Amino acid sequence: MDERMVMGRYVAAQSWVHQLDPRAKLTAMVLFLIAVICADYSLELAVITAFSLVILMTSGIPLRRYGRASKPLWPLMAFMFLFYVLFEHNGDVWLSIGSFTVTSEGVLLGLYAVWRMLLLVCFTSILTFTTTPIELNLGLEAVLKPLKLIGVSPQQWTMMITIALRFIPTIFEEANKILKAQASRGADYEDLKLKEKGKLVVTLLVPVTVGAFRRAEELVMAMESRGYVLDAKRTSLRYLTWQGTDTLFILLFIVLTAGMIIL
Amino acid sequence: MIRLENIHFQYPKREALFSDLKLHVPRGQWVSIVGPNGSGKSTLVKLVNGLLSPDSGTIHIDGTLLDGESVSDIRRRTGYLFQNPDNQFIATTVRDDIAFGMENRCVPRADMKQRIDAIAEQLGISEWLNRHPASLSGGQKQRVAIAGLLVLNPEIMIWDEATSMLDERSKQDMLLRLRHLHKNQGLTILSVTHDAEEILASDRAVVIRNGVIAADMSPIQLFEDRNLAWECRLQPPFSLALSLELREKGMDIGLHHHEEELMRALWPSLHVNK
Amino acid sequence: MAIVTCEQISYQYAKASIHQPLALIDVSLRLEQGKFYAIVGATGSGKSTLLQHLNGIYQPTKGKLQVYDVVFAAGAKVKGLKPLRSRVGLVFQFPEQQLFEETVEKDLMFGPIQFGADEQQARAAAVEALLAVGLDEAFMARSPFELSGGQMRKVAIATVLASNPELIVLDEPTATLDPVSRTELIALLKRLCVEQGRTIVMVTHRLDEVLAAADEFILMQQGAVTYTGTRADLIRSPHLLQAADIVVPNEMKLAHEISERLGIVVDELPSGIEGWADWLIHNSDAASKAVDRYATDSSASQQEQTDKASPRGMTESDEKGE
Repeated sequence: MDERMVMGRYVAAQSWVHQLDPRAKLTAMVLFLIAVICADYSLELAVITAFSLVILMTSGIPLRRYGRASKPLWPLMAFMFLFYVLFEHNGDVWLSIGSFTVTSEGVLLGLYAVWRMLLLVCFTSILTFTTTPIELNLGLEAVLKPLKLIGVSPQQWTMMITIALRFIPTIFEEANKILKAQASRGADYEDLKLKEKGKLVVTLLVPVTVGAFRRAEELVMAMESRGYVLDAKRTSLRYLTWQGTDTLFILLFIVLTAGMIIL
Repeated sequence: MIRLENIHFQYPKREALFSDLKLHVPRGQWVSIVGPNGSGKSTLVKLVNGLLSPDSGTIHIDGTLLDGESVSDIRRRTGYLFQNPDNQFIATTVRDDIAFGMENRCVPRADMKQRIDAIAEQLGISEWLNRHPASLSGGQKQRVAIAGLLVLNPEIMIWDEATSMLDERSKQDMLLRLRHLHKNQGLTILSVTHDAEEILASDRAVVIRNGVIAADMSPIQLFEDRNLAWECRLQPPFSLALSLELREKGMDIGLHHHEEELMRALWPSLHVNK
Repeated sequence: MAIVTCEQISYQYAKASIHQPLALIDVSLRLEQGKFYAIVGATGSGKSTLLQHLNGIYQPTKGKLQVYDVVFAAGAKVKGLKPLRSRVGLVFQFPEQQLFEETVEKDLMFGPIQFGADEQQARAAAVEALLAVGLDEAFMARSPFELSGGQMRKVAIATVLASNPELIVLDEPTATLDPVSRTELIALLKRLCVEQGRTIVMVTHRLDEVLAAADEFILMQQGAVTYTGTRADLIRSPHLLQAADIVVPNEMKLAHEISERLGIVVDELPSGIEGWADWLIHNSDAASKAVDRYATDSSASQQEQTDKASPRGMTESDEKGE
């Protein structure tokens, strides 16, 4: 089984970013998001970039890792760029083929969009690379607490996430076994044509779903027998400690975000 | 200490499973629950833990009537170990999982830590506390699950086919633990099992069939009744099977389920007839 | 004739795994057509990994493996294994968890159709497989998900039998079954082997359940094969089982002890409950005419035996017998 399924994207290292309280990191991420959306000049974006780079470089994780993390989103970025280039008609016309015109404004806006996207991806990566799933979950529960006022139970959400984290490795292992079993029965994924591949997915989905339901049923029973009652008051073995650096961290982001809004 | 009276139970849209079932188990007794497939062995022990409720009838645990109010306390007192070690883990580390039951009962944090360390030490699982449960073997997982139950100081242990997914070594290890819990900690034990060694180690065999307790006997009596044992999908261990077969064929050397005992009994009369 | 030849194969998992690596180390084996093999090993001994080499799910990272006419050499990945997989039926652990069709019939027909049979042939193969596992045709129309655990297991095994494999490989097929179903399943496998000439390779951690059925035993320990041979040789070497963390079956202990004490070659000892009972009766006072004459002697010898379990007791008994 792959280590990644258990630890998510967490990369173990000793850096000040790792030591931060997950609540601080989550809050900072929201502030960062606002700052990125509000920044609409290259100078502003450059300031945010410089700011992020400092954090990235001191996070104890090689920059390559962040680059790789953004890879799956490259097609989306390319699409966004093209979208602006093709549909923004203000500014100087640089190129015109038939009904398509490429303008300076379009290229600029496209570049900005990609830039923003990159910033966001790198910053979410900071969060997931430096925070273990357990910490992240605890942080989420704390940050979402205000939702209780509108009748949403953050405890339910975080329990759901815990269980997902707990069962993802098991379900992957099971799916892998079923895939091997079907290959043994003559349906090898690697050898199949595209149309047959679709059929194979069904042979995989049915048993995996049936298995997941069976597990869920048993798990609910196990949880009940161990005294779990939905939304009842409970204590927690894990707790988070807020430190001076966390306050400082948040303050930095407040300043940054405020700056972006005012400018 | 466990009293089930006039229990009626039926799953929706199916025939009645129990009609007027009655069972008393005194404190400290070790009872094996056996019976044909689908006879409701697992249902019975789920009733004791309050995971299922009878349609009528009463369940008392040590004088306390099992109802909506007492169910939480009764669940603490009746630790329930399930068959599939994978599906009773909730947390992502062993430590957090042992804590789960205590968290639900609002045990203060400092107290929890101390109790986790103590129980981990007792069961020899201290080294695994920070591991993800998926990285443990089946036998190791069951040991951790036992820790999660014992940490709540139960008086009754319910094992629902708890060893059936384990390899022989782990099974032996589990049986040893069960003996220990019974003898040294005086726990009352209800165990649904097909394991002959485990049944023979228990005090009493209760056969569930056709919705009632069809037989209530000593484990050895159960295996002596070959038809009944077969109906319960049980097979005697080799030594006992052999001594039963020998007795049937006219060579009575007594019933032995330990190989050494059998050998000792056989030895005097043994020689080679060419 | 050898149908499987392993020449010092090793297998190393590529990815970092959170389990202990179940690698294979220098495994050499020869499997013959028509025999019943039991691969015995503790959890993590690599027995499942070895099993999945037999139809090319895993391919050796070192050494050479030949299964029928397919050769797997280290470093050269073999593709297009359909023909091989139609000859080698692999039943994974808890195969009932891999069923997926609405009816037993469709599930049984899946394999044969994948291997190129037409509807009619596949249906015939399905019926035959179902009968082979001891279920009747009425099961064809039922949903596999409404069957009992034991029935689902049988259907799942039948899904592999339906492709009419010559070599049937099973990973702990008896796990979680009740003891009676376990015995029935082993008897079924033995029948497939003896009556239909198929080769059976079965993985288990319970030696006692295959002791009477298997022709050859392969013992695995930490990725290596530590023993291959017959039952009799295995009985002579209980230390190998202990080293491999396998529980020594009581039947073996008895055979070992009787062979030591009475000086009988293990090969001449019986197997199975009935076999043993008959043998013991035949070789005890109960069989001899003058039971009375020995009654007193035997209690005396019992006394001696509890005092010191000496090999001398054996010679005495021998003399008495003659």
